[in-house]
Amino acid sequence: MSRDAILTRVRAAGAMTPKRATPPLAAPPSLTTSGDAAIARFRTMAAAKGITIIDAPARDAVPQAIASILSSTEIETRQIRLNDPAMTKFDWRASSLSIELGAAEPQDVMALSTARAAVAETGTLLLASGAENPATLALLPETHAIVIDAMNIVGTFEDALTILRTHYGESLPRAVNLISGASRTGDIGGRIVHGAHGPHRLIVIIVANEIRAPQPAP
Amino acid sequence: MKPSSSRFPDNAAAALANPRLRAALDTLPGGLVAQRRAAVAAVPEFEALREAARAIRDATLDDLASHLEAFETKAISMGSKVHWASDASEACRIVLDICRAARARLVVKGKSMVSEEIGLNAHLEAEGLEVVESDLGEYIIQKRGETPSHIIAPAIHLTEADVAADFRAYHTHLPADRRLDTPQSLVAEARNVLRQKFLAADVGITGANFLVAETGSSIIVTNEGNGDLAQTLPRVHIVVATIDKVVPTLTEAMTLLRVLARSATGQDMTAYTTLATGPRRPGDLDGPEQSHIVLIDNGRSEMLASDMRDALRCIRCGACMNHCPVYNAIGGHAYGWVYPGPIGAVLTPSLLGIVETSHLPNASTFCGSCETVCPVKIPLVSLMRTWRERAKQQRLETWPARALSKLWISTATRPALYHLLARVAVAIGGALGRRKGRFSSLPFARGWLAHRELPAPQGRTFQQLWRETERGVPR
Ligand code: SF4
Repeated sequence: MSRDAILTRVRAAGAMTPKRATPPLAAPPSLTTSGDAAIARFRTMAAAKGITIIDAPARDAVPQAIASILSSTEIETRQIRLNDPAMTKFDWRASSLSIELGAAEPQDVMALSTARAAVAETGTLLLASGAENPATLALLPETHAIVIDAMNIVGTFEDALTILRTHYGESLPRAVNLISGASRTGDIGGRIVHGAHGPHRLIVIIVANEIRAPQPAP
Repeated sequence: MKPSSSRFPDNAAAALANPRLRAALDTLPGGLVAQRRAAVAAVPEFEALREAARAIRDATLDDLASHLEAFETKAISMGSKVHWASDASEACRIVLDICRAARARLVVKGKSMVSEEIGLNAHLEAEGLEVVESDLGEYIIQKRGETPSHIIAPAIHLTEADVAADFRAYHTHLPADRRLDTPQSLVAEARNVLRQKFLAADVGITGANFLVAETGSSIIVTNEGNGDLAQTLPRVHIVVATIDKVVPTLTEAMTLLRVLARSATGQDMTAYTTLATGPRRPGDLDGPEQSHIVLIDNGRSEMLASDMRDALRCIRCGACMNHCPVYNAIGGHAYGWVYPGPIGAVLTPSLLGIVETSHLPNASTFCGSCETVCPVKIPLVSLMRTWRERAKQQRLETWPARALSKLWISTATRPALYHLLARVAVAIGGALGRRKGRFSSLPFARGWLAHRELPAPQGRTFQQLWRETERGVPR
């Protein structure tokens, strides 16, 4: 069987050298922030990647925040696909928006997900797939909006992994998407074009007023 | 694909004489070099990160069997099916069997260098499957029947106008008078055509930048999001990856990710970095029903046991080719197989044997730029030198090269003879070149002198001057 043959060859090759250790790793100090500095860095880094950032004082203000950004851009839709009960429970119609529940469908123009964490280091959003946040929301529509609670904006990828481990323990969800900007390509003549396969546009709504949960133990 | 590495000198000469290739190469590798420099400058600890990345890769390779077993156990417990393939044909057969069992007709692919290496597309197509590459660069070259000319920018050798002409030829169902004069319009057209393929595909095949033993996940890194669609929409997801891709923990993967994108495109993170772990879960509304991972050896275990082990640290960022003067002059196709540039000059002989590939280790000026930028510090120059020596031992050089090096050895090891010949050559050269002070043509060196001039010697050798003066100081 190939499995055993491969492992035998690999083990024999490994036995020829002493095992070297991996030095302990920590995020480089120049990439490390926390608290308000992390939120500030996240804003800067995400904006540098072309991500539109808007603020909402609380989660129930997200529909209004989205309605106002829609009226100030060329995005022509009043309909949003989402499935997170934490967001569907609000009054979207009061903001003249309608919502569709479920995973994304090919004709959807805009979708909304909730991020598990955001990473200040690079301005990256961490999304975990599941019934509440199907992965297709982040992939199919032309505009993708992501809600992130300010308290879940962390400094480094190591911090984000801590959040992931706290939520999921040993078993990760099917997809963990680290998203750092809209879909793009440089494959034609080396010029960057957005909207290659995924969203053309990424909007992040930072929700200020969520009480800071106790930080997971390091 | 059938390698043409043995024809490297002809391939390179043809590439140098191709003005359209020159135009394409003039922009992109240089741009990537500048972007990398800026990204590295923004992180003062970058050297320490490179060292950490090297150490992670070395430690993993030292104990690869244990990490592979740990990965397999975890991946199975997360619902994936793990397959092992010793070589290319076994890997292709496994993938074909999975497709057949799923009654698949249409396969959509994310970018995967190993699938090029094992010739997967041709194998599946020969069995009647439709296979569509979805990375825009890969899509363009698949339609042209070409192979990638760069590991992260496969269509780097083509200009916008080339692509527009191709799209008009292939997408005949679209109006003939549509405008295709901007990169935006070309991308939009490809997006629409490929979106239909994504939605209709039965199987999605992706590669993996890393396999994480701790979580049983594969990690893919893209900017387009095509790999994500390929592993989310079809019923079946197949990961093809070589056995060296495993990383013990997520934390270590993060360190490698910190150097990968910065070295590749100068981004700190690409738009999409995705961990895929097993199939769709109960309650999930999307994702594949089956998740397969094909672990492929295809020469890696031999490399691990050889003096080429360091090359297995490679994380395929492409920086070595972007910084290589030879790659920048001739592009990727001249190397004649899947992996171009300095890493190709090391990997290709390891995987195909030195007999057919003995020119590749010579495709280098040994300037060492590749080593200085490699995020995992692979000693590319000394590995290429090892292959040169091996080619020599096996007497694979051309006869003029062999004759010249024999001649050189027999003079350089006889000081009296060497000095005599040097005196004669310098005296003749000095007399002939006295008037102009330089040569613009010489027998046997026409090619070399076509773009530069050789200063004429001054008439006396260094040894003579040394003796005539008091140890170099005029008396
Ligand atoms: S050899 Fe180094 S520089 Fe070249 S592709 Fe591999 S990791 Fe990158």
